[in-house]
Amino acid sequence: MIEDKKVEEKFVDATEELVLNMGPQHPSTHGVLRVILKLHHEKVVDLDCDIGYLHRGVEKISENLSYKLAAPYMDRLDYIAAVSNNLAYVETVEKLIGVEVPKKAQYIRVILTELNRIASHLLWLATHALDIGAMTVFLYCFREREEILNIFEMVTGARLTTNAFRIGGIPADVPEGFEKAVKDFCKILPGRIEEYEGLLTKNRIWIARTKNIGVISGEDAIAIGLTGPSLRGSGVKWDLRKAHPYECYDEFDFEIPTGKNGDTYDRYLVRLEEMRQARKIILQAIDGIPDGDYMAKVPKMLRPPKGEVYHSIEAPKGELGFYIVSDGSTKPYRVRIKGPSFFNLQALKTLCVGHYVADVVAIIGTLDIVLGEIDR
Amino acid sequence: MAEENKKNSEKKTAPPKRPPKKEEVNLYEDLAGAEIFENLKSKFSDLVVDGKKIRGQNIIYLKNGENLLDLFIYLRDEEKFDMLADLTAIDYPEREKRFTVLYNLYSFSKLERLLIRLDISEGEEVETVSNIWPSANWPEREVFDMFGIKFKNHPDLRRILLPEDWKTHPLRKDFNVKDRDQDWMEKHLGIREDVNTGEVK
Amino acid sequence: MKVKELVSKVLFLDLIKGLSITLKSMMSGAVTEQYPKERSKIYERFRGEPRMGVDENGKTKCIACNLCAINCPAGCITVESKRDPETKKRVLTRYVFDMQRCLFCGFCEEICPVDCIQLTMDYEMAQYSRKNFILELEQLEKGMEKIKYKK
Repeated sequence: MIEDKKVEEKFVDATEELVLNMGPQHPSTHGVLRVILKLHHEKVVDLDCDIGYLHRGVEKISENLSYKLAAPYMDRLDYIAAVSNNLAYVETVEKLIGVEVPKKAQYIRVILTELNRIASHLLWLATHALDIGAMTVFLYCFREREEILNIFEMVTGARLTTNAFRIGGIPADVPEGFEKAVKDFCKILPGRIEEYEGLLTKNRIWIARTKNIGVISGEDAIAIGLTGPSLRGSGVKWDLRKAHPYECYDEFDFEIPTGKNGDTYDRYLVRLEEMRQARKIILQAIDGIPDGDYMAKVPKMLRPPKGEVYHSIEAPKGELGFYIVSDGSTKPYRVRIKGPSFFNLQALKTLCVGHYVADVVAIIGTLDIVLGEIDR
Repeated sequence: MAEENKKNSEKKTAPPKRPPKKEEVNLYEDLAGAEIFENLKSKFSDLVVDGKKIRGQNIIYLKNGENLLDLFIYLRDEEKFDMLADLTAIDYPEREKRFTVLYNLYSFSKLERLLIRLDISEGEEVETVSNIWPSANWPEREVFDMFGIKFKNHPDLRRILLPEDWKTHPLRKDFNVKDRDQDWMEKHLGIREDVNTGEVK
Repeated sequence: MKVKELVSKVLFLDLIKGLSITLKSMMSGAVTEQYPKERSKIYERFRGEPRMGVDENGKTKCIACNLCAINCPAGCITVESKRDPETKKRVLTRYVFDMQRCLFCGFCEEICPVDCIQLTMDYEMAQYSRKNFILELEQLEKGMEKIKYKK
């Protein structure tokens, strides 16, 4: 008995730190992310992310391809939101060569990008809920995402890596039945979001697992470089679609949802509201598609003038920017991809320290990272 | 789809027109007179080299100096550039000062972006900005990884994307896209590629 | 507000609401497909297995212009041709399509001036050997060999 008591005391007083390895093959790290956690009892003291398992060198590859041919590679950065990635790249090149995209193409681009935003948020909600333990939401979200992928397949010809846009417009006009499919989807979406809310928002387990977890203030979020819904969850009302409107976002009426506490629960609410706002934009855009050309006149072989340009868009995960340097030849001199996930993941340490191990999973989920874009 | 194809093929069969040769377009405008540029120039005349504007985007050219950090602190505190959106580098092997470190700053209060180009020569160390903007931590590691530029006083300067015992810096221009660190591959994977054909031995 | 929260907590209102939603979708049929028996609708623009077209005489439409190879981001197409000394036209001698590298971006299909190469709506491209993914002209014309399974 005495022996046992001694052992017990020893354990209670233990101040040794335990190093725990999580990943790279771990279902809740959303890809091949390895997190090395330093634990004191069950609380995280320090952590280090080991990334690069998915490094393909997209920046280097695109330096060796012509401007047009690099576009499909950009789909594979954030493969959940391939359309947004493609849009950001294509727009940057358009800004560099100074091409005005026809209105019709702009509208269709907006519709597809916003659909992609919904799809991305649905996948985020699905996996985030699954990480925390809500299996049902996972299946429901995939049901709706399927509808969006069908629309992508109808318009662009592929479901995931769509290669949806070309420099100067869109490759082809939308097919028949596109409008109906989008409208049908918009009709069912609010009811479905209500279903997720019914399953999660008031659920006591969900609240216990997400409220006051991974709290970050607005200033800290800006300093660490958080963008997108993760930043808006901390109460910073900043959206590139409003701050620096690209395409024709200034013609649409929509709100920027923000959170108050900057915790995981607020970020969840922000993303749900963003889905509703995206639907609002789609409905405005689908009714207003103008007639006309869908492709601007762009030379077959692009030779942009010497210069450099940075352009960023509001991707579902945050600010996705491209910085392209042109030396006047057919290939870009340097392509830099500013991925939102790369900067968002950097905040993992700030968010996790002081929380339990189990919350690390929730925080990785709430940051909505995609390793394809972090590792590039 | 069939209609599309027809349209496309009609377009394609039209005789290709050779575009008239354009004169070299200069996209850069002078930034002289802009408030931020003049402010910086009056305060840090030894650092600021030039200012340009391209497609509505202000770019400031700097050279490395001892009070570089003061300039960045000034930008953060006085000019309210509160986020470092991105940090990267560009390699110009033919230039005397080989590398350009590019800082991409954003101001939430002014809704304005500022690019800062800092030219450095090979082997020159740059003072880290990760104490000013914590978000610079990982991008600086990436620049070190990809270009081999060292950042002074960086809290944790390790390779980030490539393995730690990798030797080359892939985004330098003298690195071919098909090159790989053969020693590393032999050590860890037990294979060695032929440099020319890519065959695995 | 506090009382309301307490009541809902005691009465498990949140759980009841969640359960009613799952019960509702339990009643409303399956949304999944039983794949080999049921096949989902493939849209016309789908970019799947590559195929080369033939003209009415059964000869290849390809004019060996090499545009597809130039416009392939992954470099998965190889076109070999020689000049016919009589007609002075280029004649295709070999066409190789490496499916392992293909991105299915559709650039080759878009650029082809004679509508020869096309990405069809076939999507079952699984093979047992890597060798089978490197397609020669003959295979591209009649399609990949498909392994059919019986029940």
